[in-house]
Amino acid sequence: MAIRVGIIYTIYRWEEKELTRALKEKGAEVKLVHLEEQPIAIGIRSPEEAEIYIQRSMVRPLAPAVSAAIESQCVRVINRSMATLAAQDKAISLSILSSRGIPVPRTYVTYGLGSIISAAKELGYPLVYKPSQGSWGRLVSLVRDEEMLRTVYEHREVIQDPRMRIGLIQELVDKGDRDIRALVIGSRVVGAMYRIGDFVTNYARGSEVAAAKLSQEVEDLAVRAVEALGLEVAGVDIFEKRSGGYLVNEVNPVPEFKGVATATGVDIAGLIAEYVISQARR
Amino acid sequence: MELRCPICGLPVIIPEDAVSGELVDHECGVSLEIVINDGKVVLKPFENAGEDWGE
Repeated sequence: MAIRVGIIYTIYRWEEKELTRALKEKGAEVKLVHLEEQPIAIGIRSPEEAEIYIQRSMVRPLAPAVSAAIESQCVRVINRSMATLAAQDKAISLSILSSRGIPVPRTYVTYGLGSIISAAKELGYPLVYKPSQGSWGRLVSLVRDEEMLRTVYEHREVIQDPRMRIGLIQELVDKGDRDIRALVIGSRVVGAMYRIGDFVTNYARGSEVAAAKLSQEVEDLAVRAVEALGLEVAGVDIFEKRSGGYLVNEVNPVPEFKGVATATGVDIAGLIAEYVISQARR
Repeated sequence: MELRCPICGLPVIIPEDAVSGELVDHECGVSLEIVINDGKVVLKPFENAGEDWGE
């Protein structure tokens, strides 16, 4: 009998189409859950539920909320709700990684101008100022001096979202013109790419990418980061310092993978489908 | 299936296998989101949620 796998999503993008294709090719029955149309019951499991779900919601607070509701029905979601919640907040995820001995950029959590200025004095300029939540490199600012820092802070204050006031002040890592995005499934790096650009290097922002062959050291680092956060499928952003050594900058719990798939030729959706089906059978 | 763009009014061809939440780029420059509710298919301008998981 075919395993029924649910895909939870808000927008049906290339990644979700690929996952649907791959799951069907591997014999699974696919249940699409468009969150704008379908409510998720807390604690009540209906006979139509899938045996396991893949969380693909683009809306950040929605992903762990819906995953938690499905978990309350005793149904597995990849990734788990609490792991997603921790990973989506950079302050929390960097703290967990650091406490597990995984090297991360020097970072301060700030709230308000006084704490921002104090953190900047500790790190020196230039530095990076970014919100604790967000992706695609949005609102990530390269700050060259205190005057610029005050200006960026004033702009942030205009945004009517209190979460934007929780800012990270981070050292500017000398990593050359590229960083690494490694895609981890289970306990294995299945593909990696270099994202090439001066500062913000996100593929979704148009950066060039190229397949990356990682050393065992870097692969181990990526896997350790994913496991530290309790994730199963994740994208790990790694800085390679020009002076030597590696830093984990971010772990993405609902990763896009078009860039890695295109750069490497690896059937990422197929590997995710295999992993999810294997977990459903356990 | 053919629907009308809610912005420019021109026809929009919807693939037979379209699912709710899928995006269609229309020639007028607008991204449209397909919404299927109780079997009824409608188009609405895609409002980027502003929350995402980038690569």
